[in-house]
Amino acid sequence: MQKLVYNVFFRRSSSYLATIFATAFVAEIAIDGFSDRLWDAANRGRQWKDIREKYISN
Amino acid sequence: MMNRAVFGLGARAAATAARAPVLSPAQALRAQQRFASSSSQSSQSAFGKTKGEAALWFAKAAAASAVVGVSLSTFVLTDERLEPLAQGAASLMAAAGMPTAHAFSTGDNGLHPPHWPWDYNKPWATFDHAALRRGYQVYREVCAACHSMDYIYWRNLVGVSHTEEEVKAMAAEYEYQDGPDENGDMFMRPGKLSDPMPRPYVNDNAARKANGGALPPDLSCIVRARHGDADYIFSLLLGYCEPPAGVTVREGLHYNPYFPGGAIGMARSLYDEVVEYEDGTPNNASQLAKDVTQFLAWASYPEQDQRKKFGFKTIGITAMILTLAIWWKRFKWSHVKSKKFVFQPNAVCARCDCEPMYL
Repeated sequence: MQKLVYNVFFRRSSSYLATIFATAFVAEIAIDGFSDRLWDAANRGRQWKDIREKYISN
Repeated sequence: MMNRAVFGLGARAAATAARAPVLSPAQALRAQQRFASSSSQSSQSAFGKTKGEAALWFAKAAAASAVVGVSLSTFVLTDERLEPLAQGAASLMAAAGMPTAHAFSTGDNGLHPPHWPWDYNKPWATFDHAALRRGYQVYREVCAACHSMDYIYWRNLVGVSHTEEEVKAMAAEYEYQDGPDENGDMFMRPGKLSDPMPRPYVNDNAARKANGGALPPDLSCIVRARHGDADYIFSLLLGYCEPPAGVTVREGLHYNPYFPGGAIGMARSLYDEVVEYEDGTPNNASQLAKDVTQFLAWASYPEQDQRKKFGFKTIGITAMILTLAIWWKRFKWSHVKSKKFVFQPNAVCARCDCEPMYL
């Protein structure tokens, strides 16, 4: 398993670079999503999106 | 062995090779145990032999940092200990003939406002946007009679306190000069989302003229611009009182202990029930002051949410990187730290046939 991971992702510089880029892409989305969910949970009822239903007229 | 074969040292090397591996059974056992124990040493993880030890190490590190931090701030660097240092430094400066200035007096600098428990001051809290909406209403109905907000545009309210349709309707109630048209004339048109908040006076001199010489400051960044932030604004709005004995306030000014100098041009404007809230919030003076202060705080710090989110992400990512760095350092050093030097008396010199006392 370790050997497979090493051979696929780390062995060649090109695949290593691709791994870094892909990981950065996924990690950014994951961290942003996670922190946004934390933020929304900590500020439930205080943000505009929580109260906007009261003021939409249509 | 390879070296000897290559260099062909002959019978003497062969004799050494033959003599070297001879060990008594007990010695061989001990050597095996040593080898076994050293190999288990070298295969340990960076923080201890087992996961339990690693967890314990982390717990101890966290506890130690907490103890050090708390004791530094609470027990070591207390005000009682820092104060004599400052006093000593001040007396030293006085002894050396350096001029000292005592600039602070309550009368000159205003009463220090208390720290009000703003709920948006928590590091993870945004503004209460319902309060922003009420605060805008207070600004519009009370403050906007004298105070401009030149750097807040109608569009800034969209998605913060009002819907786009509401803000468009509010902006259209005011007339803005635009132009020039094809004849070169300026003309008036209803406001749009891209217009700033309308000014109550055409310029600062007109504002001064209308307010007895005192210029009502622009409120766009007033919370950022005043010492004490929102605490000061809130305390000032509700801090009007009779001047104490011995203090006379000039005609047209009002006494407010929170205002530097004590005499402020602005009269008290927030009284109970001067604004009727649409959401049924009690409209006593302190609630009005709280809401409008929060609105002004938003106007001064519109980036607050983004700033706090970035701060948390930075702390989180840095914590991960720090953990990795600590693990990597200990991983790299584990060989050095677990290296053992073994004393073997009566060993045979590997290079020649001699029998040195110490190898």
